[in-house]
Amino acid sequence: MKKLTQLGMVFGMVVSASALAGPEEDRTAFQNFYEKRFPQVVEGDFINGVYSILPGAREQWEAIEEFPPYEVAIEEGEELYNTVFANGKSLADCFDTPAQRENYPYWDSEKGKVVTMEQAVNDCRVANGEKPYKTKKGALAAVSAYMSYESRGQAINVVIPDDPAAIAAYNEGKELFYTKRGQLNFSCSDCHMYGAGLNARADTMSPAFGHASHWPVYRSKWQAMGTLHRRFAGCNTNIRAKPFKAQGTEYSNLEYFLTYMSNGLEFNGPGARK
Amino acid sequence: MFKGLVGAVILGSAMLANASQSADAVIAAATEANKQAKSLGYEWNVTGKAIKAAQAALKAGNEAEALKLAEHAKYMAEASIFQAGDEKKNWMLRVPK
Repeated sequence: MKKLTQLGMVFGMVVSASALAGPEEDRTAFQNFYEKRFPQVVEGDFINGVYSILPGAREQWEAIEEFPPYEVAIEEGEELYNTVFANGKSLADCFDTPAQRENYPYWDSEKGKVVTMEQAVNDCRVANGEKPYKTKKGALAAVSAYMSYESRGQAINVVIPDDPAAIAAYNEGKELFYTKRGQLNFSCSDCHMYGAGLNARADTMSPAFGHASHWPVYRSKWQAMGTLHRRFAGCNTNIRAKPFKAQGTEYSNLEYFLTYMSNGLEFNGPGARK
Repeated sequence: MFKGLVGAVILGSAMLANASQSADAVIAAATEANKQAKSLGYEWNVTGKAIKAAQAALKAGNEAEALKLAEHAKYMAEASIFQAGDEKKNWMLRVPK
């Protein structure tokens, strides 16, 4: 009994330590997990999602990429990016270059929140007297596709500043990633960490390492483009949880955590997925 | 015979009224529990639909069905609140070391 108690104490300490570990320790453990689980994946290839671990499906995907279904969205996004607002300005006046992916998501200490690239686009519109775009698809996904395309090859390098509020936002994203929700009682990590490579019905679940690299995505299931937050909401709906608001605090913090976990990889959006 | 019939009608009406009241009360309890689950960030997307189905059955005068649906909705709302408490204690078990 004494031994059992001691074992419990040690286990508790280990668990508490991993829950309280800093972002950098988290990132190392996270990336090591995937590298050990999928030793066959070439360095940096996790940006290709499930195709990094499924050679058969990869061939089909590479064929799709020859005539990418997101091409129209890139063109539409470029046009919207340069469209003049009623006040004579445009999105191009808010950003020094459309190649902005590497700067997002980031902790904005003045606003006291995580700002994603899509949120920055909408903030720009609102600051110039325009209505914000809807946050899951349509115009925002198109602008995001253009900006992501221009950013291809940039390194993912999210910074968590030494600010208690920023660390709290990171930790909230981390907690959401590992928390079971919905009637099906699944966490993001159940499917995309411990279940990565396994099948859920006819689909293989993708590794979360690299998940944030390739957005927005043209998804065959949607027959349209969608933002990362659209996908978060879809996943939550699948597990029968009420999704959070796209570009709200919960999903922005989740994006902050998830993108930080992929530090060191490259941005390669927009993407095409099943 | 007549007295017996009147008694049966009164008893039947009382039972129906009671079932109706119970369904109403259970719908209210389910709604309240679901609000709590939502405030915790753990609302299930099936609970609100179950509450609406119970309300529709009650409106259609199907008290027994309404009660059954409301009880199921209340069970789901309470389970999601339990999930919230349980996950607050256990999510960290999944963090790789």
